[in-house]
Amino acid sequence: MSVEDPVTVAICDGLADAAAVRDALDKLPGVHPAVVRGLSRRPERGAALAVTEGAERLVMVVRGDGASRDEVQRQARRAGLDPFAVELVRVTDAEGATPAVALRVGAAVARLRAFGGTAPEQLRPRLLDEQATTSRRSLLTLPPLTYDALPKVPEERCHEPQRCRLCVDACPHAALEAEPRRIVVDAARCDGCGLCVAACPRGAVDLPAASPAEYEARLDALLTAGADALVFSCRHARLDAASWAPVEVPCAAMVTPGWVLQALVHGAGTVAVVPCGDCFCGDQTERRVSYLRELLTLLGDEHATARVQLRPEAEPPGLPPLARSRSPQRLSEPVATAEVLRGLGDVGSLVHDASPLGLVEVSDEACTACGACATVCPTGALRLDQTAGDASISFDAAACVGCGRCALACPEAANGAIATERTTDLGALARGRVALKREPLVRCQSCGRPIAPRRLLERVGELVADEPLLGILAERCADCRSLRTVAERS
Amino acid sequence: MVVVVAGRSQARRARSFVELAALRSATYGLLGSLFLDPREVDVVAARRLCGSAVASGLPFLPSLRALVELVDDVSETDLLERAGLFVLGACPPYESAWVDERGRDRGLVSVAVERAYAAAGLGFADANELPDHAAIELGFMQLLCDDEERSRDRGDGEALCEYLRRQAEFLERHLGRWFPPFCQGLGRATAPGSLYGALARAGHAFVVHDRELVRVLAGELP
Repeated sequence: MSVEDPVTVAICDGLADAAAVRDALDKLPGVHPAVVRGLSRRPERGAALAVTEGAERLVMVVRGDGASRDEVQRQARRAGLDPFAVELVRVTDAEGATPAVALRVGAAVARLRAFGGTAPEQLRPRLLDEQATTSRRSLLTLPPLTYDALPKVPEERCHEPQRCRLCVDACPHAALEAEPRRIVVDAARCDGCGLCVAACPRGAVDLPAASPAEYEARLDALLTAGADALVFSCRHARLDAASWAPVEVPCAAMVTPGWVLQALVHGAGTVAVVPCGDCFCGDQTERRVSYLRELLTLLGDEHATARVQLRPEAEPPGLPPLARSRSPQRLSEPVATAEVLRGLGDVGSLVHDASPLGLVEVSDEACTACGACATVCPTGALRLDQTAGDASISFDAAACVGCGRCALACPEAANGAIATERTTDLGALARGRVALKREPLVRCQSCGRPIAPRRLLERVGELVADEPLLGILAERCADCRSLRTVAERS
Repeated sequence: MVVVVAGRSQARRARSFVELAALRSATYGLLGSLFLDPREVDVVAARRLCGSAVASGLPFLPSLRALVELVDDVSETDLLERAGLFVLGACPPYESAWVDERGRDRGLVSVAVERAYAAAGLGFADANELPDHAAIELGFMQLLCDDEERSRDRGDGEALCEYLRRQAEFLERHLGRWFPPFCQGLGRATAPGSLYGALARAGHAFVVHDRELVRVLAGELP
């Protein structure tokens, strides 16, 4: 969607100052807000307005005690709108036509313009007011339906053929399963928490209303409009932070350190992350906040504790941002986080289990330059290159997410060929891509094509303890060996 | 007064699920008939189906509406496309072709489907098609939804349990497994804007939704 695509903004006439809210929102680019009678209790009127205006996206600005999100979704569906193409902005009487309301509506409009739609397999029906069914009779009067969003992993964007599975490992509900060449979502188990989205370094996981692109759009709108204190809050958390610009996430554990760092260099002076307190996300969020504070302290920030908060203070501290980057935010890419860090410093290293980046070290003695690590690396941090004379393994710390897939794939890992650790090393980030291992290539004596790195062939020879075999393998490539065998037999 | 209000609310809910079963039955029937001969589809009934379903807000409705618009005007091109897809084998509409690519167990798949029909008290007697043809399996779900509608209408909770279980089993073991990927394959094999492209999209959206819906309803079984 673009700025030209219509997004309907409907404002309830029951708000304390509905006309002033409309006038404030009228200043937003590409938005033509309208006041709708009784919208808070009758969300179907907002949906009808969107249909009349030919809009596929709708923002409803309603009173705090207005219709529930499920009811709003139901009315949107009845009007033929995508159930996740509607944003609800609740306004208290005290807020009225304040800039904070315009900020939230602007962010909602931006998110909707970045929303790519919902595929049929991304909708899971759920009965509202779930109750224990105790009798066959009660099956006759089940509660109404609502829909939850499910993630989808398009095959063309996924790295599963190389057995990445970072999303599978990140899921706390065992809802993702790796099948040959694709990731399958178990709709019954999925909670919609979004951890799979944040875990994928390629941005391959699509979750309606919670995709990286939608969050990037929302954050960009908030920060461009001047918000300097952001709070990421879990959808289940009770939040009381009127002076902060809110960004709701399905689970606080979805907010990686990279998200916070990018916000801090794109205009936010302070970021808070609020977990719900009822699940593991509390522990994970605490570790990430701890990491960020340590990192910022390492970078010389005297206000690290105030700059990244676990529970937002009533009033934000009013800190300036770390920087004002002009490059777009790219929440799913480790390289974007590394760029942020490169701009902040080039000295210092922090080993921390919450580090979003990693470091890989390779033993020159044990590594055979076979390239298995590069094949499985989901981000291309490890790369195998071949020149006329040699094969080399290179490493770019900016692209490494510390997933450890390289160590799992390395056939010489038991011999200490490779080691990986979650580390934010500013010096390594500044150095860029470096060669870790270089090994001469053995070439076919018949056709000249590369057979394998010399050390790899030697290692094979050691393992099979067969010198003649090593000689055969090092002499000709597989194709030329086959041709020679055919020629000898004939 | 509170009792009366609660009673009315419950009655409304009960009615909405009767209507939902009827809507699902009609949708299965429409999709099934399109896999046989699109010229014999009752277009008036199809339009009525879409009209009555507007208030339901079910997410597959936009694609169903788009399909019904095209059903009204079946062309020679559509029939040729159908022949290429289903008769010449570009996209065979049989469960066995989609769950057993090697082709060694196709007979077993057909037998399993026939057993499911028999368990519901139905015998398979169509000499023109195999039991695992899309139209036959969709037709079977249509009958199960009819049974569900009747049991809800007469307030028979015990019968309702049985019909929901059969629907859940059939969708989990048969139609719900192969039909969505078949529809995705059908969508890739069809021309843009074609009747069968619209059928693929509507069929995919509906069966995926119904599989999850029945899973939720069956999850409530005592």
